[in-house]
Amino acid sequence: MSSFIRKRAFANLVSLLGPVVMVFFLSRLTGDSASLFLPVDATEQMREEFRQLHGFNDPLLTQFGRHVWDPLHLDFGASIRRARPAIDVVLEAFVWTLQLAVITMTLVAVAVIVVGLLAAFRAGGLCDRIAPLTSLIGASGPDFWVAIVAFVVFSVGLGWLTTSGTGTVWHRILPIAVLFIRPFGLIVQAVRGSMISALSSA
Amino acid sequence: MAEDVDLLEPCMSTQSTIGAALLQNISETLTYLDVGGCGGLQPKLAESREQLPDGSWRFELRQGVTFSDGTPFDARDVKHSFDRVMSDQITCEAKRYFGGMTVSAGVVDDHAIDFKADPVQPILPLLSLDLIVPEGTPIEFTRAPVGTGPYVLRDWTPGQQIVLAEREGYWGDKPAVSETTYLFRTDPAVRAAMIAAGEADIAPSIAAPDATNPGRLLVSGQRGDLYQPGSLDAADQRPARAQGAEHGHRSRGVHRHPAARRHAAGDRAVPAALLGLERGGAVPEIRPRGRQTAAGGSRGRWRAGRYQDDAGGTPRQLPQPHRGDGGDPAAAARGGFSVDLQFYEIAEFQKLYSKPYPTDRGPMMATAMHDNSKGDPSFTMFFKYASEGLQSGISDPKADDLIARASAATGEGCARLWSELQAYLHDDVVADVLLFHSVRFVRVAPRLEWRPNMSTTLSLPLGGIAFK
Repeated sequence: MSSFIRKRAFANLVSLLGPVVMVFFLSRLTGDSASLFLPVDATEQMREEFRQLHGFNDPLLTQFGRHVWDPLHLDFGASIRRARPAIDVVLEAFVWTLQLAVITMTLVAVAVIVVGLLAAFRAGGLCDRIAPLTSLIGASGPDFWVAIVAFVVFSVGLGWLTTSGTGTVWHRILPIAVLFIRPFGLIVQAVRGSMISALSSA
Repeated sequence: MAEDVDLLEPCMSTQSTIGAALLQNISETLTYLDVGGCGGLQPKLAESREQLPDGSWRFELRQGVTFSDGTPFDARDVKHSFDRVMSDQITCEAKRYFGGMTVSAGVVDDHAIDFKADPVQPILPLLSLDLIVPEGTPIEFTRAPVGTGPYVLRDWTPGQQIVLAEREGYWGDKPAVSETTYLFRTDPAVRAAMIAAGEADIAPSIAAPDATNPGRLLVSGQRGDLYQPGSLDAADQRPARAQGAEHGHRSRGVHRHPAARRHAAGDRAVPAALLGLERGGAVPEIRPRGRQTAAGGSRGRWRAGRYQDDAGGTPRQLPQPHRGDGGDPAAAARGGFSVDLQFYEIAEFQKLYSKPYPTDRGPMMATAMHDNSKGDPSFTMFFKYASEGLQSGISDPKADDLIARASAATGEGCARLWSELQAYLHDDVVADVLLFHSVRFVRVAPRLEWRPNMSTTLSLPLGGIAFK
């Protein structure tokens, strides 16, 4: 058991360290950070001050050391562009993403189990006809296109829902409905198939 | 707004999203530029200005002005604001306009301040960029701006909205708009739909296909220009005119009209100069360039004839740094050019495109977009065409002289000199080939009495908006 844990821990360490190393070096391969960050007509003096201010003049290994060491102390640095802790910026967006994902996946889980079971129990019934159709739609309808059409129809055309934003439950209906379609379509078919094979083996 | 606001930092207000919230709303400048006319600089926090015998500028400041935190405004605030921009402890974007000179601010008394440039040069338009902050503002970037403007920041929920509310005690006229909410929507179709659905009043930068309602849509003039400077050889020591002649031959070989026609129906228009349509951009003196338009027979945008004559009949390798809508290699090949089309990351592109130019390469044409959203020729023309300009491909005494005189002029003389310069650059120097203007569409709700202009991409003074 302990060797299993050691192996898994090692594997996870590699997958954590990989991106840390790659992000550091790849981001420096794309060119001078000062040129990337500052406007195109920035003066050379501004570029030099920027490099000095943010430690880009230090030896690469020193910079890499900071890049690895700081997060180990839970110091994720500041967003230069936003002048605030980087972790706050990430968490802010993450909360909304997480909310949408959790609500959507909960609804998907309930819906696929209900529809998948009914489709398997009553072959040829209504649910059995709906399941393949939604699978097809879910697999072939790209989210971004469905989203645009849905908002043109429901927000602009019919005026039932808001075009964007957050705040009320009405704001969540469109994004959740659009996010729902794809996983529902894909998983319901799998649930139906597994259920049919389980029932036939019984 | 198309993008979330990163900061609400006055010294970063040259960024369009920051400028739209801050400029003349929360924070104000000493003077402001009359975009759309040639009225030059208009008074704001400075009531008057005069040039002193040593070339420096003295500003007499408006009295009785207070910041939104209640502190009175005086000359020390102006000095602190300027010193903050120039500090090496923060990277203020406005600083880039002061390259190649040392500008110092000296407080004369509470209501007068001097600005001196070394070497002496026209700095007046540059000073109109500096937003005034109270003396107590720390040097690091702020997210809670305090200014003298008619509005205060009431709420900022990052990623979602900014709310500005009218404040008590503003020195100027009471604005018609008492509260404004800025929302951030990256998709232009969503922004356009928000006006249609009555969820917003102004949607900047909507896509041309969404510009379907001429009654509600206004074109905000030109925003950027694609142009192709000729060879930018720093090693080229020939006299400027000879270099200009080669530019001329080369750029006459470039068709711009097929591309312009292709785009003209959408969000682009054929340009006459590197400036906006509203400020000296429509230049009647510029003659249609017959050889560009009459080079029929080839559908491509390149013709090698004139260039080959110039180069002794031998097609040269023509590596082309490519950004955005570049040349068409197949068309160039049909025209007899041997083109090596190269793509660059922006930082690499900058090395080729800004001084000091590399000396270890052959002739090169670059395709680039230029954004003159500030609407002032002084910024663009010096940068692109003066001998000392950071991205200038020419060194021409007459152009230098015209730029210097036009930058210093106001009123009638200003328009005439800029026109003369543009005609000269276009007809005689042929410093570059202007391909098209980008036109930006702004959707405006019918209840507003407001017309966007070229500076709408950079600022949105709410005081100028009224209701029908």
